Formats: sequence, C-alpha cells, structure tokens
Amino acid sequence: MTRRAAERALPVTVVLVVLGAGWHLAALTVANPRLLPTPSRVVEQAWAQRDVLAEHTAATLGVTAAGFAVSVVVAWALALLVDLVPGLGRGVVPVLVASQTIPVVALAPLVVLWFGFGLLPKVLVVTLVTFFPLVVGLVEGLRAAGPGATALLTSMGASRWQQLRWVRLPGALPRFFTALRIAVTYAVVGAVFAEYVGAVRGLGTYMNMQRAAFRTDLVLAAVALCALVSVVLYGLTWALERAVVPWAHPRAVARA
Amino acid sequence: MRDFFEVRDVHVMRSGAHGPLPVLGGVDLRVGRGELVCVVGPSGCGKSTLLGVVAGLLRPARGRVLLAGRDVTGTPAHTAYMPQQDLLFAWHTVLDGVALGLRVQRVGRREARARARDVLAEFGLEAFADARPDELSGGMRQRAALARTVLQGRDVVLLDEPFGALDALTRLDAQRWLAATWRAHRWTGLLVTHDVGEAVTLGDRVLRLSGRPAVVAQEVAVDEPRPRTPGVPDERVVRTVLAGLGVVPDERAPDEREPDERAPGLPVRLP
Repeated sequence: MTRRAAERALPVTVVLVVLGAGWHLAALTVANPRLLPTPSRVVEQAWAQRDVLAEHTAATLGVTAAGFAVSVVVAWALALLVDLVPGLGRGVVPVLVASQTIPVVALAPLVVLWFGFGLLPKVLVVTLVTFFPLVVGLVEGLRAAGPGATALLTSMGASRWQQLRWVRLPGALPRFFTALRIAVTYAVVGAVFAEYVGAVRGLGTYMNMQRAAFRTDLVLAAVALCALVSVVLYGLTWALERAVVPWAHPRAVARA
Repeated sequence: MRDFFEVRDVHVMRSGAHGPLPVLGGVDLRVGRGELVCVVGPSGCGKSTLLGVVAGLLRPARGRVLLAGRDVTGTPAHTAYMPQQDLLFAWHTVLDGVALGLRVQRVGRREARARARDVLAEFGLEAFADARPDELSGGMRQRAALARTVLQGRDVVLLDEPFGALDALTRLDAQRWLAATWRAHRWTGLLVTHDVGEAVTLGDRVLRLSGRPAVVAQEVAVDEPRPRTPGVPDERVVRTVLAGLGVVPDERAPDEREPDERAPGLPVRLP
C-alpha cells in the first residue's frame, strides 16, 4: 500500500520539481525579487510570516466552510424541490444558468456594498460560485436511476417518498460527490475573491495588502496556501465520497 | 383450472407523431391458479405494454384487469413484476436488494433480511448475500432479481423477458432452474418472451400476440409432461407458434389454423 502510494506520488513530485526548477531559473534570470522571487525566498518569507499567514488562512477556511455548507444545503433543498414539483425545473434551471453568467468580479463588490464587511457577503459569494454545479449534479443525479427503476418501485407499491429513499437518493450520490469535488475547488477561489474585494482578514485581504507593499514573495506564499487549501479540501471530499458511496467505486470493494 | 386472473378486452393507445397509436387492440387472457402462461409475439408488438397494464403501471384506454374477481385495473402492488433489466441497485448488497420489496411494504429491516436470506438460500445465492450486484454473473443476477420478485408475496408473478440478457447456454440453465422452482411453489404467472422455445419449455400455455394493435392471435396448450428438457421444447408446439409468427412454413391444414387476420409479416407457405 505504501509502495503504491509512493508510485502514485512520484509523477506529481516530478512535475512539481520541474516547475520549481523552471521558476528558480527564471527568477535568477530576472534577478529582481520584487518582480519574481525565487521559490526558496517565498518559502523562507512565508515561514517568517507563519503566524500571520496561519491567521489569514484560518479566516479564509472559515469563510469557505461556511459558504460551502450553505451552498450544499441550498443545493439539496433546491434540487429536491425541482424534483418534487413537476415543471419547476423548467422554470428554475434557466435562471440558475443565467445566474452563472454574471461575472463574480462584477457581483462581489456589490455584495460587499450591500452587506458590509462581515461574514455574510463572503458567505454569499462562496455560495453563489459553488451551488450551481451542486444543483445540476443533484437534479441529474435524482433522475439517474431511470424510468425502469421508477416502474419497478411503483409496481411494488412504493410511495414517492419511498422511491426517493430507496432508489433516487442513493442513485444521486455519485453525481453529487462529483459535483462536490468540483464545487469545493471553486469555494476557495470564491472566498479569496470576496476577501480581496473587502475584508479585514483572510488570504485575499493579505494578498491585496502585500501586493500594495510590493511583497511579491508573500503574495505568492498566499497563493500557494490557497492552492494547498483547495487540494486538501478536494482530498477530503474524495475521502468522504469513498466512505459514503463505496459502491460507486467497484474496484475498491471488489473481493477475491 | 379456475381462472385466477383475467385480462379483459384491454386497449392501450400510445401517443405518436400523427395522433394516438393503438398498441393493444383488445387483449383477452385468463390465467388459472398455479399456471404459467407465456406470451410471445413479434418484437415491438406490445408484450411489455401488456405486462405494464397487468402490473398496474399503465391504465388501459379500455378494458379491465381482474384478480380473483376483483377489479385491479391501473392499480399497482397486486402483482410482483420483474422488469426486463434486472435493476439490482449498486448501493444495495444482494441481500438488501432482494429485501427491497418487503421494505417497501414496511416490513422491518431485520425481518425483511431474514426472509431475503431464506429465499437466497433456496435460490443458491446465500454465499452472495453480502456481495454487490456487479460481483454476480448474469445468471445469478437474474436469479437475485427473481428472488426479489417472488419475495414480495404477491398472488401473480409477471416476468418480462427474464432471461433475455443471458447467453444461450446460461439461458437454458436458467430455464431448467426456473421450471423446477416454479413447480415447487405453484406460483401463478405471466411470462413475456421473444424466444418461442423458452415459452414452450416453461409455459402451461403459450399465447401469441399479433402485430400492432395486438390481440391474442393464437393460444396453444403445451401438453408435454414435466420436467421438460430446456433447449429441446415440444417441436409440434414450437412449429405451430412459429408458423403463426410467419417465420416457418405452415404445415397445418387450413381448418386447423387459428383465425388470425392480423398476422404479422408475410406468412411463408409451401407451394
């Protein structure tokens, strides 16, 4: 198992090392740390600023988690509603699609303007950028079991609720988790952007401040932390998926 | 044999591009208690639609479905229906999948599982109770689907192409197994198939539907004693049904033939 993990980690390690080496060479050529610091300088400065960075990262994580939680709840509620009320989907889904064409760049400052610098506007931005893939994944997932399954359950005398419980809900989970993984990566970006527009704490705010101070190294350190947070959250949803729907990955449960 | 359930003059319309299309044009059939009646017909003639009506999934435009004298037209949960696909859900273990019908009937989990375990044991699947459906072979999946069907404890069992997805040899094995199990339980049922040999091997009677709009065009009793040998069905009956379907020459004298004005295809006749 450890050997397999090592084999899996090898390609990504190689890619990171190559990219890092390229960056290092470029930085040496540029020879201006304000323009492009070397990776080692970024790591060094990030370590020196670790307490401040940790505080901002925690703030960003808080916004991400709160916004994402709201998003998941809203997505489930909306998807179940669309599923239960025939015709509602045709009314709601086009509006949802349209809502996704509004650039967050335009919307986020307005949301901050309307709701101030507290937690609420940032949670709203995260919700806005993440709930669409969740709703689409859920609405399609709830239909994934297909008409044959509906016929079978109806022939058994199952009520709508029983059909949902025994077939459609579990059948929706694989798509839900796929959507969850996509959405969670948007969530961090959404949180950082909302902070960028106006906040007291958070990686977005931090980046903004350091950019203004020409501390490119610290901006890049914050960027790296964002990426790290995204990867960790992605990994968590992946682990959650394996735990909740092991049957969606037959190779994981295959026995001798 | 007393009629146990009856389909009377059932008409079904489907919406088509140019208005409603008749699919079933007045189907009449009767099944006695403990009898297995097999329905064959040209593909697309409405065999599955007929089962849908009997299962209460479709309300016919006209006609009735009677079960032990009671009108059950358009109401489900009187029969146990096994659709063409096995529909064993990936999120259930074999045991929970087989118990599904009982759980829908609000039987408690423990009892439903215990009863499912008994059926699995009888069907030779007890070793796979905790397996996932994709770990079963095609034949085993069909057996599990049938276990789920009969465990519902309904008075009538409806099988839609139960072995349609199996390869030829597995299918013969499944037929032998179904015939034996059926005999042991004396279930009452209707089996739809496109395989005339299968119908003649399994059925007490074989009904042939005409092309659309379908009516029962021919009814043949299979007198061959049981146990029968799958793969070598009563040749006379097979010939009769195939002749009715227009795929082999009709060797019967004209007065032996069923009146069937809507036989599909071009009947091939010897010169």
